[in-house]
Amino acid sequence: MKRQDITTDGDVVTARQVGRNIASVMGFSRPDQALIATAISELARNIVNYAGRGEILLDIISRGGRNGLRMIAKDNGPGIEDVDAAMCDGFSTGNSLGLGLPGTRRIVDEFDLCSAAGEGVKVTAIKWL
Amino acid sequence: MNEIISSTINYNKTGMTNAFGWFDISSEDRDRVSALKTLVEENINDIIRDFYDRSGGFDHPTRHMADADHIARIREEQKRHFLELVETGLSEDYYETRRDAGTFNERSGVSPSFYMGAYSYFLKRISTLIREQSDDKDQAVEIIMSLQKIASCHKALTLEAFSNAREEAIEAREREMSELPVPVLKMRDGMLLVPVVGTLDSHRARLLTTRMLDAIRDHSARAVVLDITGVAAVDSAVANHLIQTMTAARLMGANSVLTGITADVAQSLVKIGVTGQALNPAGDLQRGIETAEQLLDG
Amino acid sequence: MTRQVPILRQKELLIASVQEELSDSEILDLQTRILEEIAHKPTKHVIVDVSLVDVLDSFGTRTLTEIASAVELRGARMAIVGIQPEVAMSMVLLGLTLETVPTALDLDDGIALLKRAS
Repeated sequence: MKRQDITTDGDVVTARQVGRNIASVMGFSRPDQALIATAISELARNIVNYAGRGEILLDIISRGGRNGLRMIAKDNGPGIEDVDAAMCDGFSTGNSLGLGLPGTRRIVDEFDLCSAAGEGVKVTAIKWL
Repeated sequence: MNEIISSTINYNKTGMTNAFGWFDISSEDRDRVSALKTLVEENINDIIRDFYDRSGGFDHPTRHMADADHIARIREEQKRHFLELVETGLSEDYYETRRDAGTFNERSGVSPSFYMGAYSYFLKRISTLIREQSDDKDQAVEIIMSLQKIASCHKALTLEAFSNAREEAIEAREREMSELPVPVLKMRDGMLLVPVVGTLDSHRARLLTTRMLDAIRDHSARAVVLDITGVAAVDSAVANHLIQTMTAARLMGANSVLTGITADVAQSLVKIGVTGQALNPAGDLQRGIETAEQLLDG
Repeated sequence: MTRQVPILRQKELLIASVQEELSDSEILDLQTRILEEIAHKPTKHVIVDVSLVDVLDSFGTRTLTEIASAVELRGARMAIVGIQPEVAMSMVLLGLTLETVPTALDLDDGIALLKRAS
């Protein structure tokens, strides 16, 4: 498992580079590598923008004979009050297009978001090989 | 989830038990039918011969089957099939043999109506024999009713297997189609032609996107003609994928036009709410190439 | 700031060649510098070359769109050139379709595109 602290936008770049490297070694196609790097970028940027501090965990998982890359983004920030609204295109409380989370969900195979106001956010995304 | 998996594994037994239930087949029914074994064995050859030889308005498909071996194989399978009805007594292997008969019919081009026709001829003949040979009229009726019940079950399972085999055959053909390569042709400097043929499943759709976008970069193409004349069906997933691919091409700096939307495909696209604007349609291939040339030169 | 996106000027044309990995602060810095350049010298066309970039996410795309809008408000036109195939597909899947900014394959195409438009 690879763990990356996220506090600055430089960490966002590092996290997606690490993710792309793992994806490449695992044998993901170039388009899929780009999707993985983009997903990590969005998840890490959410941490920087909304929580200020958090981490990205990357590991390889297997299920039913298939390998996948699991990306977990965790923070202890203010959390998301309305998870349904945050998953709608165009919703943003910060400074963005509001495409980050719903867009990320579209480019991965599995997506799970846990949050409550005041308790931080945990996003789990999986891309299968 | 677990339930679904386990029921899939036990499909044969469950299918058998259900089928007996649906057709209300009791062990007495089975005993009565098993007792017909000698009668059927003695008459089966005559019945099958008569079925093929009889004259009349029934234009059965074997007349069109030129190959004598082929007809012989079908007659042999029919004999086996009818004997099985009384021989197996609907044992454990019953379900599997149904499957085989259904698959045989699909492979040999024996249509359901031909199969049903032959079956009903066989039942009529056997029923007549039962009545002729029986002293007790009531008993004969009971035997015939048991035979009808089990035969209905027999036919239903065979037809079900036939339709499964047909589905499998169609899926296999679709898999073959999905192995078709996705060619990307260079028409002239800056222009690509991508003829899409066959079924666009998700694997092939991804391949199409990758090939087309890579070719745009490699050939510095500024116009792409995407021709879908050879695509049989366009559902919302395929339409969406085409739109996404064309949008990605635009982001790279290449304009694309879509040609070969057949009347059927156009109709289904309208139904799923895809507008012309998103697909940039240009009629047939000829018009599409003209449009692409204007894009290049304009 | 250790790295800066190089900006070249050729008469009334500005060319910014974005390097491989673009962080948020680098792209914000690029925004400031392009707008300063336009403010100081007459500029007709701006081209942002992203052919080396392998990830363009929602923030990057939004900032590029903002730069283009600001450039337009200053009376110039901007094009983005060299978006790579896999980057283009990721952007589309994310819903980032750059409706308002013209795109082209490479520098030459981008220059031709901007000249045709003006």
